[in-house]
Order: sequence, then structure tokens, then C-alpha cells
Amino acid sequence: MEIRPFKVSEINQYIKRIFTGDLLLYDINIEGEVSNFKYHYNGNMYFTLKDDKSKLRCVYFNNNINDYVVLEDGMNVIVNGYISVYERDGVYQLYVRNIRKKGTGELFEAFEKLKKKLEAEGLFDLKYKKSIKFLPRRIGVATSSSGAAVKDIISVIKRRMPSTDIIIYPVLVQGEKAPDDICKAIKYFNSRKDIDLIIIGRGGGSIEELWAFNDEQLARTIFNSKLPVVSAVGHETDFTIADFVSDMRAPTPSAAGELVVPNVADLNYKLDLCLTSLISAFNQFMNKKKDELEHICSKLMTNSPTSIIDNNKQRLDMALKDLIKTINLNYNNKRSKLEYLGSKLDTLSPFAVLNRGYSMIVDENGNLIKSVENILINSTLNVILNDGKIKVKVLDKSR
Amino acid sequence: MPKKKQNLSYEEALSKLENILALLEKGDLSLSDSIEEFSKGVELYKYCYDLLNKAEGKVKLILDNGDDNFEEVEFNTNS
Repeated sequence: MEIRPFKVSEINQYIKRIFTGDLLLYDINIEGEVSNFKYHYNGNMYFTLKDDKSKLRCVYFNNNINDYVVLEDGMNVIVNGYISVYERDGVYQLYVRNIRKKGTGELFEAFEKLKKKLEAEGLFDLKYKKSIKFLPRRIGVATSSSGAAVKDIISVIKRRMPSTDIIIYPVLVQGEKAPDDICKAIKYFNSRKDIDLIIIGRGGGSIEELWAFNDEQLARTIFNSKLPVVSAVGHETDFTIADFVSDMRAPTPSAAGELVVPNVADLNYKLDLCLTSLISAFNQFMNKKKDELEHICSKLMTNSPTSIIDNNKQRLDMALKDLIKTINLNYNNKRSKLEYLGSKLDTLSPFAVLNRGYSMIVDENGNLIKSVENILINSTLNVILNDGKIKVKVLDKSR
Repeated sequence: MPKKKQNLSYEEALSKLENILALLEKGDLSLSDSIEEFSKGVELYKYCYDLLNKAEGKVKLILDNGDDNFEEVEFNTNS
């Protein structure tokens, strides 16, 4: 009895079931070279993995894709995924779970191992990080003397702080000899007495190209450097052992320039402000002192001996004037009083009566006789007249 | 002071200058002290200014001639 013929879809379905039931094909790592790489607009990637004898179709669905690796033709990769059948076309293909560049796995492992080891030894400890001078005068740079990195570092430092000296020690920055070279440069800069800090670095590149900066010997040389070391390797996303062990990590070479020197324009501005404040504070101080002095001086002037003398002189003048005035007044007073008295005396004078024909009688002793009472008969009396006197004898008296 | 100044870093000099400024602003120094502080301040300013603006720094390239014999040559940025 003949078995009924299968439909194409049925047999493809059957084969698919066999594939998916296979333990090996379910989770498999395959290495090969990428070719025919196509990036579909819906985000899926299609490519063929090949070696020198054979090819394998691969599909990488966008929901699995991590951006760790950017694929391109000719790249050697290790792909992880499962193999199954695409029923519609009757082809089997590799459904990719993830891809890594060939070799990077081993490098990554080595990196992690060294990192752990050095970390355990304390090489990354913050307490060992040397501080970087605020204003370094001379900077040692260990990098390739050609290429963008060195130019970036120089131009940024020169723009920010033109007075900085830059000493470049040219080194290989990739390949087997590079770590030795960089170590030598660090030791050289340490042997000079005029360097303030060291920048080691290079521009961006693949992980293999940056590998020199993951060297253990280099890490230890950086750690033992007496001068602070700034690492400036690749791009912002690249991390190397040198970054961890150095005293400062700059994300890029030009960022290193920004980090190691301050901006001269900012500092000049601040400094000028400081000078202006200094001068104005000093002027203010001096003005205050001047005011105080003037105040004291004016006080002194009012209390000076000359002013006392002047004062007293004036008082003396005044007193003298008063005195003269008083004397004059007194004199005048006295004079008029005298005259008054004189005239009064005149009118009261007994002699004035005589002028009018009266006469006065006095006894021999000159006593005025006012009454007949005590007059004795036959006594001698004197009669005083206006123009002389006569001696008379009392003949009789009556009352 | 001038002898010590040679080793002064920029930050040290600047902070000294700021201290002097604070002293003068407080204003209770004697006259001779304040004149002295002021002239010290001006000197510190000059020192800082020179540190920032002294002649254009040099860019040199080290040539390793072996046997610890190093030579320093002008670095040509355009090369």
C-alpha cells in the first residue's frame, strides 16, 4: 500500500518539528563571517554567516537586538541562537538571540579578570587618588604625536590657559609595544622635576585598538606614578583599566584639556574684581581715616593756645574799653556833681547874703551870734560886712 | 615675603588676597598696618596676574635617543 503523498507545507511542518525537537539546534553558538548584511526597514536584520566552505542564513529580529555590536559585512562574529525552518520558503536558518564580535568575549573576560584583581589589591581606591593642581604650569602628555588626540589636547589647553607649557612624549598607542612605551613616558615625566601632571590617551577605536590601556604593567606604573595621571582614552563610552587606576578619567582627549586647566578669562575676571574691591576697600579706609583726622584737627584748632590767646586778647580789649568807658562816665558824673554842688554851695554860702547888705556878728572866737542871750554888756564883738569887718562894743541889750 | 611668594600656588595667593580684602573691608586696622596690607594685596594681585598671563607657554616634543638621553624640540602642531 502506498502512503498518500504529503503536501509541501506538511513536510516542511514535519521537518520543522524535527529541528525544534533537537537539543543541539535549540541553543547553539556558531562562528563565522558576516556577509550579505541587510538592515530591513522594520528593524530586523538579515545576513549570511559563512566560512570558507559553507553558508548559513541568519535572521536577527529587532526585539532581540542589543546595540552592543554594529554588524557589517566581513566582520567575524560568534552568533548565539537556534536553528529552525522557515516553512514558507522551505529553508532552514539561524534565529539569532545575540551576537558578539569574535575575540571580544575573551578580551572582555581578561578585562574583567584584571579589573577584579587590581580592584582587590586596592589600586582603584579613592584614597590613593592624587589631587590635581588647580593651575598646572607644565603638563606632560603621553600619546601619539600624530593624530587628532594630541591636537585636541593642545588646542583645548591653549585656548583655556595659554600660559601652560605642554611637553609631549610620543608613544605608540596600540599594539604590543604600546604599554611599554606609555610606561616609559610616565617614568620619564616622573624623573623630571618640573611637570605638574601627566595625560595619557588616544583617540577612539575598536576595543582591540584601545587594548594597550588595559595592560597590567601600565596600570601598576600609573598607580606608582608620583605625579597625578589623567587618562583620556577613546570615547565617552570606552572604559579601560587605565581609566580606573588613574587619578582622573577624562571621557575624551579634548575633555582632558577642559578638566586639567581652568579658563584664563574666568580667572582674570575674578582677579580683576578682587583688585577693584581691594582698591575701593583701601580708599574707603583711607577716607574714613581722613575724616577722623579732619575732625580731630578741627577740634584741636578750637582748643589751640593761639586761639586762647586770641580769645583772651579780645576779652582784654573789651575789658579795657569797658574800663575806659566807666572811668569816663565816672569822671563826668563826678564833674557835673561837683559843679552842681559848687552852685549849690554858692547859693548856700553865708557870704552870699552879705552881698545883699546883710552882716554877720561873731564873738572874739569867731562863733556866730544868733541870739542876745549870752551876750554880755561891754563885750567886744566882730561885725562882718561884705567888704570887711568892724569891732564893736555892746552897749545894751534887749529882747 | 618675596622669598616665600615664589612657592605660592595660585589658589594660595588668591586666598591670601581675599583675606587681605576682608581685613581692609572690616576697617579696624591701624593706618600703617592697612597700608602694608594694601601693598601686600597689590603684590599678590600682580603675582596671580603674572601666573595667569605670563608669556605664551611652550609646546615641546621629547625625543628619546636611547641610554636615558632625551632631547627636547619644538613641537609643530601642524605636522
